[in-house]
Amino acid sequence: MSRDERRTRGLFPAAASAVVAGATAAAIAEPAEHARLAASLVGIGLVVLALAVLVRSDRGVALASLPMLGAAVVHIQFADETIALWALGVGCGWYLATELAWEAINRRPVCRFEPVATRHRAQEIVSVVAISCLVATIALAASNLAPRRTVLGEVVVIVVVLAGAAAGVRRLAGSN
Amino acid sequence: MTPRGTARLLVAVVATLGAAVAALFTGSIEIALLATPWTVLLALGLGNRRRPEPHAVVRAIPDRVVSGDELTIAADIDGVAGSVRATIQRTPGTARTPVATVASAGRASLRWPLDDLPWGTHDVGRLDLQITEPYGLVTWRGVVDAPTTIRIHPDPAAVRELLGPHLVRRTIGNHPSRAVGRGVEYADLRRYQAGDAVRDINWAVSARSAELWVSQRHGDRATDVVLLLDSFAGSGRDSRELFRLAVEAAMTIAEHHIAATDRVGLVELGGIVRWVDTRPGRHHLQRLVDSLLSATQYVNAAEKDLGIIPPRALPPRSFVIALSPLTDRRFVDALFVLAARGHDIAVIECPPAGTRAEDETPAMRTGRRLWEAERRAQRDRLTTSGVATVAWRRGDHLDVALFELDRLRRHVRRVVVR
Repeated sequence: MSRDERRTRGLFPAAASAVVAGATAAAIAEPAEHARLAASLVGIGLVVLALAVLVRSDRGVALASLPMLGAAVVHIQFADETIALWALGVGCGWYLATELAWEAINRRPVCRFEPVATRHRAQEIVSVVAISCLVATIALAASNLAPRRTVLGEVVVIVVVLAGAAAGVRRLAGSN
Repeated sequence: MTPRGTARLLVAVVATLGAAVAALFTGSIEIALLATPWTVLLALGLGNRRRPEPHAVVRAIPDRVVSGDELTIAADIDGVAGSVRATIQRTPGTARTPVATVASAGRASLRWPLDDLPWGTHDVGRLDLQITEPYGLVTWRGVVDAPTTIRIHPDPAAVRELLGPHLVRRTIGNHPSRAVGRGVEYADLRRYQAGDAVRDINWAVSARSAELWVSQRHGDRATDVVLLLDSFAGSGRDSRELFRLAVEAAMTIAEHHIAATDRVGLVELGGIVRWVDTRPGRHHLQRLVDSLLSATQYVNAAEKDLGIIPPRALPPRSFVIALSPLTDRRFVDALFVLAARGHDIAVIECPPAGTRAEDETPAMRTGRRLWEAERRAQRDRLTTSGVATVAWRRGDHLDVALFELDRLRRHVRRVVVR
């Protein structure tokens, strides 16, 4: 492996992480009456993420999730209408950004990655996002069909759906 | 193997619990949806856990190479799931090249292409493993032992002329003896006698005289060669490098003397005294090379002498080629003892580099000059005892050093005979 190759390794996932994190941040900090607080949290989250990638800190990336998800919660609290799909998109976007950041950190030390390792990792990330979308869609549909929409009712539906999904996945993994 | 939660696990747990609590208290389903990927990750990762029980088989492909050749270390690791990152321990040049790969169906195959290992014997079977479970929530760390030795031979130096021994055996070989017999080197002329072979008749001389003359030749004989390697740990900063240089020379000389049908043995005189008996043949060469590859220096202040070495390892009238920086008194004393026993001795000296002239203070310069004078006096004493010495440094051709040593040996022999 050449020195240039070593130096540039991890740049692609880092750049991809920056793009996805930027898009997610833009979606969170859209203009509204609460924009100032959300924008501050998003800014902090982005700075922490960038620093964590630069200093190669796994826990730094984890720490960046706090202000980001906090900003999303602030946005949800001040939203006028139901923004379930927006919340799912932001959740998946941020998950993708953090996974790419971790991948960039892992690849920067002098270390050879077999192509099959990269493929396997990509499959895991894609399957998490796909299952999340599926589970969320089912949960939303189930909560809409429910006769009386109470908070407790929605949470019960979500928990049941998540538990069912986890059990299904576990059975699938066991059978493989 | 020791498990450890990753940063991914931390985020997944905090996000899932935090979102669940916040959704309950605020009555907002959107907050729960925000953490859905982390919840799914937690469910997938924890639902697919399995304690790894790694078992490694490590091998080198090929297991014997010459320094500079490409070598691949292959490790097959069973009993793991997820991604495996492994690093070979205790091997210079490999500790900084870990490899990551993914185990499929519980088996991971790792490959390390290496081309920068120094010659010698290396143990590459100790692996530092970092196994990351599927979905990366938990990492297991540990060490797996799979003892594997690889031998890397130094690049062989070409030698055209071997040192000619003064004492030879009766068996046929490649060294001309002083006695007349069957050989190549011309010795003398004598009158033809009944029974002389026609091919020995010197027709040029016979044509100038009225009778037949035959050429006599020196018989080609084999000899016993003992390589005496100085493995006393020196105090100089280049002590290790000098030892490696001596081993390289020993290996080249052994190879060429074996090819010349000589019997070759090895005596490693140092912190640990080891020997290999004198024997001929290619199989024996492998034994010698293996011993030389595993030769190392040991610090030992005990008085070591040649008394413990059996006669079959140091036969009488054998030709002793010593390889040493001549910095340890015990080794130099052993040379005097061997000379007194009547052995034919030649010394290839790997001299320490010393300090650079521009870095020296006046006191250091005086010290160095005294040290050099001592070494010259030591060499003169050896010469008086019939032991010729030649210096061989890294980068010099061994062939040139051997040629010079052969010339010096003739001179030393004349001095001693007088």
